[in-house]
Amino acid sequence: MIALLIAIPVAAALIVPFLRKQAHIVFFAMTLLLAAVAAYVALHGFAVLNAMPPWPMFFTLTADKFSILMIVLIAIVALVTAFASLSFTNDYTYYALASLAIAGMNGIMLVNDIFTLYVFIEVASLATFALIAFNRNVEGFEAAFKYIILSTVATTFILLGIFILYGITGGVSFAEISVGVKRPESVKPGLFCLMLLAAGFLVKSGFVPFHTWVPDAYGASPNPISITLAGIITKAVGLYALIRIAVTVIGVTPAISMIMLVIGIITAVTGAVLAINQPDGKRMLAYSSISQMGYIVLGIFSGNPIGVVGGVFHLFNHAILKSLLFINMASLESSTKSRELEKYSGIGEKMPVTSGTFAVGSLSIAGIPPLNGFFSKLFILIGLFAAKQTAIGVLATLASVLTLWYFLVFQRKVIFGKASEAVASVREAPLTYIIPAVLLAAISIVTGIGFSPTISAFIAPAADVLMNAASDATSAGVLP
Amino acid sequence: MIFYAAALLIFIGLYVLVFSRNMIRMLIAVEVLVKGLTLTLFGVSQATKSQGLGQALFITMLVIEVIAAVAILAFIVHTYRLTKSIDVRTLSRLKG
Amino acid sequence: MTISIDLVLFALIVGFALITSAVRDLIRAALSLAVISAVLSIVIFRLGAPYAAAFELSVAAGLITVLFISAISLINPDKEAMKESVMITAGLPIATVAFGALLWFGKKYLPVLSFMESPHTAPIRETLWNLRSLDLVGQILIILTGVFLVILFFKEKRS
Repeated sequence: MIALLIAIPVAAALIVPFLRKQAHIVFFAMTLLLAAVAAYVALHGFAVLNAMPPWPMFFTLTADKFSILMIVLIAIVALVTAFASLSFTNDYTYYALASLAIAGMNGIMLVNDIFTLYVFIEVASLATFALIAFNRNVEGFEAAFKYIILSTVATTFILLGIFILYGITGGVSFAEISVGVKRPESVKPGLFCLMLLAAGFLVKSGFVPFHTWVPDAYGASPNPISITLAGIITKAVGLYALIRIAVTVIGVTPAISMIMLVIGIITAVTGAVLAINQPDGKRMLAYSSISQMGYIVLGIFSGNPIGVVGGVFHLFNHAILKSLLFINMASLESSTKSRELEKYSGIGEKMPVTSGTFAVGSLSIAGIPPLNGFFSKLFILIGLFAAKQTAIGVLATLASVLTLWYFLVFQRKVIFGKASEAVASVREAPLTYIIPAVLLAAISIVTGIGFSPTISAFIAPAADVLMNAASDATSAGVLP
Repeated sequence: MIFYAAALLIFIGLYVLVFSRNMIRMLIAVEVLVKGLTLTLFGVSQATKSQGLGQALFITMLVIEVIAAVAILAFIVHTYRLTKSIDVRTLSRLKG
Repeated sequence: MTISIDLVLFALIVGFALITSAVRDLIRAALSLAVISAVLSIVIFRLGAPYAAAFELSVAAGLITVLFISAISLINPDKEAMKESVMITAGLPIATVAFGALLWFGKKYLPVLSFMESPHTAPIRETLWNLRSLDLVGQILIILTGVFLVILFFKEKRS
C-alpha cells in the first residue's frame, strides 16, 4: 500500500505525455488519489512493506508516525498545488516534473537506508531545479542556477558523510549505522559525519548562511511551484532528512543540540530581519520561510518534550500557512498583475476572500491566538526556557516580535489601507485559488482552536518518534 | 593514500566552483568533486572488504551524476541561447 | 616514500585536475576531464572493483566527455573561451599545495577512522539486485526527471 505513494505520482508522470491536453486534470486526479492513500496510511498509523518474490526486487519501505505526518503534508500541499496549477498551465512537462518531485519526496519518507535517501533527495532536487526555471525568464535562470550549484555542493557533503559512515559502520542502512556509530571508537567520527550530513541538509533547506538561493528561487519560480517549494520541498529534502538522521539514526549529544540551536536562532533572527522592508511580496515570504525553518529547529533540538512537540507542530503549521500565504500572493498577482506590495494597498474590499484567508494566515504565523501558529510558537518558547536555554529563548521571542511586526505592517498596508486607483478595477481571484485558500485557512483555524486534540491525535505521536528514537528504530523491525 | 588524493580533488573542485565565473567550468569543477567522492567510496569499500556494495553504490551515484550533468548542460545551452553568455555575472546583471 | 605506481596515478589525477581547472580552451578542459576519468578507472580497478572501473571508463571518460563537447560546440567555443581569473590560474596551484601540506603535516590531528569489516561481501551482481533494488527504482525516477527536464529546456517557447 505504501508503495502506491511512489507509484501513483510516477504513473501520472508517465501518463501525461500521452494526454497532453488534459495534463492538468491528470495531475489533479493524481493528487486526489494520493490524498486518499495518505489518509488511509495515516489512519493505520504505521506501515511496513517488505517486497520479496514474486516481485523481482527486494526492498523494505517503512512509514513511522513522523514519516506519516510528512506524507500527509506532502499530499495536502500537492493538492493545493494542483488547484493552483489548474489555471496556470497545461504543459505536460510541468506536471510530469511536479509528479516526479512528489514521488521523490514520498520516497524520502519511506526509506530505511541513507544512500537511498540520497537518491530520492536528488530526484526531488533535480525536479525542483527544472520547475524553478519553468518560466524561462532571466530571473528564473539565475535562481535555478544558484539552486542547482548550491544543491550540488550540498550533495557532495551528504555523500561524503554517507561514505565515511559506510566505512566506519560497514553498511549504509539506518539500522547498521545506528549500531555502528555506537562503538566507542566510532563515536567521534560518527559525529563528524553528522556535521557533514547536517551541512548538506541545511543548505538544501535554506538555513543561514546557506540561504542565498531561497529568495531568488521562491520569487522567480512559477506561483504554484512557490507554493510547493515553500510548503513542503525545503522541509522534505532538507529538514526531515536532517531530523531523521540526527535524531533517530545517529543520535544527538548535548553539544550537537547546542550547535543546532545556535544555527536555528541565527536563521530565525536573520530571516525575520531580512523580511522587513522587502518590496516584493514573494521575496518577503521567502525570508519569512527561512526564519520559520529556524524556529522548527529550535523546537526539535530543544531537548525538551514540549519543545519537540512545538517543533513538530510548527513544521505542520508552517507547511499549511506558507502554502496559504503563497496562494494568496498568487491570487494578488493574478488580479493586479504585480508583486509589489505598495501597489496592493486597500485591496481588502475588492478581494474579500483572499484578504480574509490572508489575514488568517499572517495572523497565525505572527503568533496570534487562538490560531495554530500561536500554539506551536508558544510550545517552542516554553520548551526552550524549560531546557534552560534562556539566551536563545529570549532571542527567539524577539524574532517572534519581529515576525509579528512585519506581518502586521504587511496586512495594514496591503489589505486595510485606502483603496488606491491601481486597485479600482480588480476582481476577486478565480475559484482555483479560492478553494484551496479557504481550505487551508479552515485547517489552520480548526487546528488552532482545537489544538489539544490535534496535538494528541496527530502531532504528539510524531514527536514521540523523535523522543524515543532508539527504541522506535529497533521495534520497527527494519533490520536487514 | 587514497584519501589524500580524494581530499585534494574535493578541495580543487570546491575552489574552482567558488572562484570561477564560467558556467561550464563550474560544471567541470562539479565533475572533479564527483571524482573525489568516487575515490573516497572505493577507498572505503576496499577497507571494509565489501567491493560488491561499493560498486553497487557507485553505479547508482554515477547514473545520478550523469543525469545531473546532462541537466545542467541543457540548462547552460538554453541560457546561452537566451543571453548569449556563459558568464554567471551576466545572469545577475540582466536581472537588475 | 617510495615511488609506487599508485602514487604516480594519484599524481596524474591531481595534476590533470589542476590543468582542467585552469586551461583556457573549454574543449581542452573537457579532454583533460576525460584523462582524469581514464586514470581514475585504472585506480578503481586496482582497488578491486573491475566492473566499476569499466563503468567509469565508458560513462565518465566516454559519455560525459561527448556530452561536454557537444554542449561546448553548441556554444560556439572560439568566441566564448574565457580566460580564467588570476585566483584560479595562479591561486589554485598554490592553494592546492598549501592544502596538501596542511593535510600531510597535520596528520596527527585528524581523527583516526577505524574501518569496520562489512558483512556485505557478496559480489556486485547479487548486491545490486538483492540489496539495492530500491536504488534502481530511484535511478529510473531520476532518468525520467532528466528526460522531462531536457524536453522542457529544448522546447520552442510558446507565448
